[in-house]
Amino acid sequence: MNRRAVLRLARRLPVNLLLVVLSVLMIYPLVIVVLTAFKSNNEVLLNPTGLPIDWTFENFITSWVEADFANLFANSILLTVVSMTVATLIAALASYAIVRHVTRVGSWTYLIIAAGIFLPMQLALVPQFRVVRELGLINSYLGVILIYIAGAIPFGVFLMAAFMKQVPKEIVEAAIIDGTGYFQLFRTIFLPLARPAIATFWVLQGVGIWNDYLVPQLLLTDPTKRTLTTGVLYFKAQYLADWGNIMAAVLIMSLPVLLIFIFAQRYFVSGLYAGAVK
Amino acid sequence: MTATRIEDPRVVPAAEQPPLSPLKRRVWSDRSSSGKFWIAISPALLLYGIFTVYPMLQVVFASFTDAQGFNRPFDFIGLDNFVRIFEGDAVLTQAIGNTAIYAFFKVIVQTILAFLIAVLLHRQLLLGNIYRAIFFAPIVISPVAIVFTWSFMYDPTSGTINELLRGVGLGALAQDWLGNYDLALYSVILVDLWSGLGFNIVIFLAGLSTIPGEILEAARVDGAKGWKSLRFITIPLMVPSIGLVLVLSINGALRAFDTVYLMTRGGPGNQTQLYMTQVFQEGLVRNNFGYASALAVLVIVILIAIAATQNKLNGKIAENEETR
Repeated sequence: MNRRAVLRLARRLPVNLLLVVLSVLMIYPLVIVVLTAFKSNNEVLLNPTGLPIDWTFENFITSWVEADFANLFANSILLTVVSMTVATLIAALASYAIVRHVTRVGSWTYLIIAAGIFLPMQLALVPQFRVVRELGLINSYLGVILIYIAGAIPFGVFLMAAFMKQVPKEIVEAAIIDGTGYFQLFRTIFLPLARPAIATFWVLQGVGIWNDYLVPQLLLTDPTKRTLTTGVLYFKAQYLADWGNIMAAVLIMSLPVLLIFIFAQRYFVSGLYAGAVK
Repeated sequence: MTATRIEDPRVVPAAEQPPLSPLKRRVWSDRSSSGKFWIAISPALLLYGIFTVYPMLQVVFASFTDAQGFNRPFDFIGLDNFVRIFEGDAVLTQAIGNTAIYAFFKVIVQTILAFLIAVLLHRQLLLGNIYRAIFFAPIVISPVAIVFTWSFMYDPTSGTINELLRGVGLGALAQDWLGNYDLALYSVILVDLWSGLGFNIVIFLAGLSTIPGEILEAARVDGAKGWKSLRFITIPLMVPSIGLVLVLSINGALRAFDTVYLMTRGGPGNQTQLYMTQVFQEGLVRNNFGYASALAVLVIVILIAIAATQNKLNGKIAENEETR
C-alpha cells in the first residue's frame, strides 16, 4: 500500500521535475526584473544576479517622477478604454447588421472586414500617418484612437459575428412578430448574447492596444501625450544603462496588467480559449 | 409563440420547400430593411475604409511606383519593384534566410514544446494554477518591457546570464549575446519563444479540454497508457488545435517585428534582420517607399493565402466530422 504510493510518486517525479525546471526558466526574467528594481544602480553592476544586499525603494520614486508615470498611466488608460469601448459598439453593430442581412452583400461585407485581421498594419503606417495628418489630427489623442478603432474592427466583427450567428432564428422571429424594432433587437437580444465574444475581444485586442508603441510613437510627439510604452521607451533612452531605474519602470508599467491577469486569470484564460476555438 | 406560428397557414405549406420558408427568409434576412443594414454597418465601414483600406490601397498603389519620401513626385515603373525583389538583393535574401530560421523555431520547436507542456498541465496537478500563471504571464507583458528585461539579461558586462555562467565556472561561455554575429539571431528567437509559448499552451489546453474523458478511459482499459495513449488517441484528436497553432505560428513568424525592432534594429550587420523589419527599414528609414510597398504587398498576399488555406482545411475538417 505504502510502497504503491511511493512508486506512484516516483513515477510522477520526472514530470513534476520537468515542469519545475521549465517554470523556473519561464519565471526567471520576471524575478530578475523585481530583484533589480530594488537594487541601486551601482549595486546592479556589482551584483546583477543575487538578492539585493541593500533593498532600496528609491528607483521606484525616481522612475515614477522622472518618467511622469501618473501622466503615462492616464494617457494609456484613456486611449485603451475609449478605443475599446467605441470599437466594441461599432463592431457589435456591424456584426449584427451582417448576421441579420443574409445576402451576398452581407457576406461580402463580412469577408472584406474580416480580411483586415491578416493585414500587418505596421506596413501601412506611412499612408496612415498621411491620412491622420490631412485630417489635422497629428498630436491629438483622437488620431490614435481612430486608428486603434479601425484596427480593432476586423477582429471584433470576426468574434462577435460568430457568436451572433448562434442566436436561434425562432427568438428573432418571435421578437419581430412582437413588434421589436431593428435596433431594439440589437440592444435587447444580440448585444447581451455576444457578451462572451466581447470579453474575448477586450482581452486580446485590449491588451494589444495597451501594449502598442508604434502608433503613439509616430502620431503623438508631444511629451505630455506619451503613453506607458512610448514614455518608458523615452525613459530608457535617457537612462541608458541605469538598470535599477529601468527595471523599476518596467515593473511599474507591467504590474497593473499582471495583477489584473493574476486576479482574473480564470476569466482571462476562458476568454483566450473562446478566441482560440472560434 | 412557436405553436401559433406553425398553425399559420402561410407557414405550413411553405415549409415544404426547403431550405427557407418565405416568411422565415423575409424575417431573418430582413431584405426589407436593407437601409437599416447600411446604417448599422456604416460606422464600421467608414472607419475601416478611411484608416485601414485606404492606406493599404496606397501601399498597393505605391508598389508600382518609385515613390521615395512623403510628398516627392514619383513615376510609375510597373513591375520593376517586384522584379528587383525576385532578382534578389543581398540584405533581403539575408532577411528571408533569418526569417526562415526564426520560423523554424517558432513553428516547429515552440509548437512541440507548447504541446508537451499543455499535456503535462492538463493533468490535474498540484499547484496547477501557479504553473499556468507562470506560463501565461508573458502574454500580457508589453514588448517594450520584455525587450528591456532581456536586454539587461543579455548585457555583456553586467548581464545576469553572463554573470550566472561565471558564477558556475563556465565564464568561458560568457558572450556578447546580441553583438555576436553567430548568436544574435538565436538570442532574439529565445526572447520570442519565451513570450509566445503561453498563447500556444492556451490553445492546446482548450483543445485538450474537448477530448472526452471516456475515450482516454476506454483506451486505458484497452492497455494504451502514457506514450501510446498520447500517440494514438490524444494527437489524432488534437489535429484541429495543432493546425490552428501551426497557422498562427507561421503567420506570427512572417509578421515578427517587435523584438528585433526594439532590441537590435536588425544588427549586428543584418544578422537579425527579419522580413518585416527589413520592409520597415526600407520604407521608413531609407525612404524607398515604393520598393518597401512591393515587399509589403508580397507578404500580404502570402498571409491571405495562408488564411484562405486554413479556412479551406477547417471546412474539410468540419465536413469529415459531419460525415463520420
